[in-house]
Amino acid sequence: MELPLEYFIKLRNLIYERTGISYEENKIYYVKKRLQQRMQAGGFEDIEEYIKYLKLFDGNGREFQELINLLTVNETYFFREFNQLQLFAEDCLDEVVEAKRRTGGSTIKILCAGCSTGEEAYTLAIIVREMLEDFRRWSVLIKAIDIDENVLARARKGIYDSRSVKDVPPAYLKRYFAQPQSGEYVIRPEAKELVLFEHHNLMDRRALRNEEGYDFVFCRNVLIYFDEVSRKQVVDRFYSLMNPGGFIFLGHSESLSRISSAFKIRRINEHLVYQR
Amino acid sequence: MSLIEDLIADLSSEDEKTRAFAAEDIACDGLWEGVGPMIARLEIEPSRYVREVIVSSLKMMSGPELVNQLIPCLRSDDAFVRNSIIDILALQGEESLEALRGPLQDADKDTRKFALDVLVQIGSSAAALIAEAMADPDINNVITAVEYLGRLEDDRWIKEINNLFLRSDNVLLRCTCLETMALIGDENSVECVNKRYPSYQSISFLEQYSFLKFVARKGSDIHLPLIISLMGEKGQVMHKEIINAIEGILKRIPRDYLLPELIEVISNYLESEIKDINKYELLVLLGKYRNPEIYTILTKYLEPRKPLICMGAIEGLGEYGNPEAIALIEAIKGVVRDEEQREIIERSLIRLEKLR
Repeated sequence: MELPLEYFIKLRNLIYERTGISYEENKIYYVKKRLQQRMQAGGFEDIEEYIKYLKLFDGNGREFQELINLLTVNETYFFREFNQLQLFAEDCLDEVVEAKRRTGGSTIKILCAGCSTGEEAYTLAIIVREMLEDFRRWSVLIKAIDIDENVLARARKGIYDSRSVKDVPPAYLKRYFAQPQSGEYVIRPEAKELVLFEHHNLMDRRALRNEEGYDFVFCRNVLIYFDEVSRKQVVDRFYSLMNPGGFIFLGHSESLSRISSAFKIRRINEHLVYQR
Repeated sequence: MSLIEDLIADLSSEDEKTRAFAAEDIACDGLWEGVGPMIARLEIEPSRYVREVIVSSLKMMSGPELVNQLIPCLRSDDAFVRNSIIDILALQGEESLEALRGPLQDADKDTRKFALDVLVQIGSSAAALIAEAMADPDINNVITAVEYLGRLEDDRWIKEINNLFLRSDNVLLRCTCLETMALIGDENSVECVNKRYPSYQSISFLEQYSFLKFVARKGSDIHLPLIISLMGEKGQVMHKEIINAIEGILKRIPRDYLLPELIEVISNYLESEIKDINKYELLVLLGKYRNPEIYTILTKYLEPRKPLICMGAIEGLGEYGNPEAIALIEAIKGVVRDEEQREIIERSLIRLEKLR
């Protein structure tokens, strides 16, 4: 299949407008391969025809969503998107903690939305434990929520395979995981006790209204599965439960700029972050 | 107080969360009496967050009552309010069409423009109303109407657009016509363009970009000499448009061999400072033609330290089909680790192996 740059850019712009996900030009092969799969499935022979279909005739947005599902591989593992976690650990967490020290605060609350089987929530628990020198002084709560009871049950067990922990630094692997048998990794209480898993539907307007005082919201690679209006409502809900100065993290290719103007954009070490 | 009275009162609460939740509840529970107060609150609400919630809440509602209450806000001085109202009205779809006839006749040209902004988002069913604005007394609204008809790819008014292009003295309108004719033009559009621009010199600087866009979609070999001239003169600033124009013509009119002058200018382009992604597409393009010198050009760019250019050369060599390239590509394969790039290499090798 041919994907002339002109059409790659058109498709990229369309994806950005509708989802906030942005693909750099060096992702042309990545996009091309997945596009080819969708075009074959839908019987499209020409890229121009396919883009026209997405723009003008895909009334319920089903084909667009299929394409997005294919482009955003739904996989989860510990320490995924490491650069962003590094930014959280080394800059944002530090900023929030310092502000709390000045005002005598002693709690840190993190919301992990769309937590799936718990890898991200436990990753955050490990990071917080590692980064806070005076960890004992703090009351830390990582609330991890998902709509799927099955994944939450697995998350609560905290048992993973070697693929899930492939990016965990060896020292942390030793400190925070038991290995009862080869290829099985069980999260230790030191990290596990910081995380509370709860069943929530992000689309339920009343579900999160009683939540407040969060310093961080992680909602990475989740909003892409919502339509434009719902995405905005969810982000507004996050805003309402966050402390002023709190940070929200979306997936590395996702952007809030087309979703909400309520958050401030800040540049920290070449990264853009959103802050309440 | 009743529930709705409570919620309306909450819209003026001192607590921003209470105001936001009230707006959300009014919309979710379909309490129509709250729509007016919500819209009124939007105009004075100081919190960005609450404004966002009011807008998303209004987006959940639908019906003529909502449309009629929103229309007057197209005249709001507040850009956030106006843009939000445009989005909400657009979400109402055909429900908004009749109500927008009024703003399209408004004495204020900006209000007419905002009505057009709603219509284009509604889509094809709004095209006839958009087309009426080609007779708007304000030239900017005419330009907008032409642009939006192109965006909707609705060619029912192409005759009018061709005429506007031919008779207009306004260069911006001509540019817009060119870009719209690129999308929905007919044979007559090509004739109009050739008539208006008999030579390269007759295209003003401002029109060159739009002209190239037109040629990319509708041009033919007669436009190639003109593009080659532009490459020499404007190649570095308009490289993207020029490449698109060449690709477009070659795609529409298949051939085995490129004009030698074209190979020469493409070759110069590859040596210039244009972006790697543009070099990538030129290399892929070259691979489709049989001129002997193309093989040498492609092999020259097999340089793994510049992955995009290298992959362009590999894809190009795969297309070109000279099995002598196998050894060269195998050597690259040995140093490339990226999965996607390795796939491209494999594909080219499979292709070339079949020809061995």
